[in-house]
Amino acid sequence: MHLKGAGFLCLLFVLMLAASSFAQEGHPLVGVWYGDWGSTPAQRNQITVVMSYDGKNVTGLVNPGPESFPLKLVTLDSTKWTVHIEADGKDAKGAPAHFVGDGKLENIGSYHRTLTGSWNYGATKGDFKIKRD
Amino acid sequence: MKSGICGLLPAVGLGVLLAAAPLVAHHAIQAKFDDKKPMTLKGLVTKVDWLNPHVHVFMNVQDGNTVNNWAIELESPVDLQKSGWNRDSLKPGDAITVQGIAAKDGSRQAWGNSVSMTSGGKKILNLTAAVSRPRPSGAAQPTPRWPDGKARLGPPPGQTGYWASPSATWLVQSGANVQADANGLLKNIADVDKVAPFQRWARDLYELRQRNFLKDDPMFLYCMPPGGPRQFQLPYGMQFVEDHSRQRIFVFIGSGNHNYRIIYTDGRAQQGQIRGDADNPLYYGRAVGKWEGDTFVVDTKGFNEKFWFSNGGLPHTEQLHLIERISRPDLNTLKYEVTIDDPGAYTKTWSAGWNLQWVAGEELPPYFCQDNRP
Repeated sequence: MHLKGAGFLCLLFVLMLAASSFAQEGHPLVGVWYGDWGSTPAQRNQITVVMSYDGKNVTGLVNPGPESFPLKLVTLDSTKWTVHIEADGKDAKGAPAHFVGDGKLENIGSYHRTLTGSWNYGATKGDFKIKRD
Repeated sequence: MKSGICGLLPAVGLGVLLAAAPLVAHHAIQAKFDDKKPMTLKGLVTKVDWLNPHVHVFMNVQDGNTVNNWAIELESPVDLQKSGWNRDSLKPGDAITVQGIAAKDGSRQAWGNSVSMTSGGKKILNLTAAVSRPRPSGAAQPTPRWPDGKARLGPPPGQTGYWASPSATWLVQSGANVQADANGLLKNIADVDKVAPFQRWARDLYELRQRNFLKDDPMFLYCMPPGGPRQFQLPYGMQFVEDHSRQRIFVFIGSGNHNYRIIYTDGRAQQGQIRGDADNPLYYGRAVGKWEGDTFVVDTKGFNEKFWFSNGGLPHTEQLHLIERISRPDLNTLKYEVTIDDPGAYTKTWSAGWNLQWVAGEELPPYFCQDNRP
């Protein structure tokens, strides 16, 4: 019986996920984005970015949860569909770090559009790719 | 029988064919098919899918020593029936000739404008001959009314009917001189800035959708509901069902997945619901309405961002707030005006309006958006 209940909950969860993956046809940055970042192809870190738009500014949060930190600046140049992001977080050693990222939106008409680009803090550089869920 | 891909139609002939094509397509044909790639296919029918939103005929076409199966996309069953077609018009094994345009992606798909029996040339489907609905003639008949004097938005007592044939099928701010087709595809892409007072991102997103021939339209791809003014722009019309006892008006659409919008008329406050509530489907927002003289004024907030609120791909945000003014000056005319306030996507409030025509004695067409093949 419990298994049936668990199965039903699992199905419900899957359906909710499916429903939540439907379009966000408004501001193209709004939504939950998943992906990875790193300084080499072998050294990757999972990342979740949640962005919203209040009609004037895009705000956001990186890795919601105890280790989260807000996006300090997000600008969209819709003439080129490029995005500039700045955030104050922590580096791998836990030291404060000012991250700067520049990326390009692609497949904008899709529910699962992507944002791909490069980031740096100080002399450390790398790339990232996130996809809107 | 000689079969095969017969090459290009003369350019002039194509121009006439496409110019006369009906304007009731479920989606912008140009999103999927290339009007610069006319083609004629001859072959044998293998299957007929009589399904919404579009009928498909599959046919084997011989190309040299190879036989390829092609999918011919046609209008909806509703439109084909108006053109004299029915599900038995073709059967597997029939030899047919199809004139149409090829898919943009190079796949073996084509949009069919006409279908003829290859033997004898009898044309069994000619979309260029589709007949538009005649306008009612004679003197305007009075507005039907409820006993309390309010205008009826639905049929007179004991009758049936619905609203269709909108005089405008896309949204542009009042006073702007802009031309577009029935799907809202601009004739001149340089007119983008005239359409609405866009914020920059919304303007560029609208232009992108236009340049992509509206191919990402969620109403077409995923049968998403046509919230907002789009309810009143659809080719298969819409219908008001006035529930006086429960003080609400249902708005049914004659297409999509036949979902409905509720307009509460019980005097409840407009609270909007950015995150929605139990009885608010959000694609249609949360609507409250009241009568101001002979005009039904509807205030709607609480939309989600999962749909296009107009043909043509105008963006909106959750801040969208609509004021719709609906009146029925005579039996056959519905006047629809809408004011759009969305500070998330537009720099100022703007308005548009059009009329719909009463279709007496009929129910909404049995058109459903399901089994889609994007």
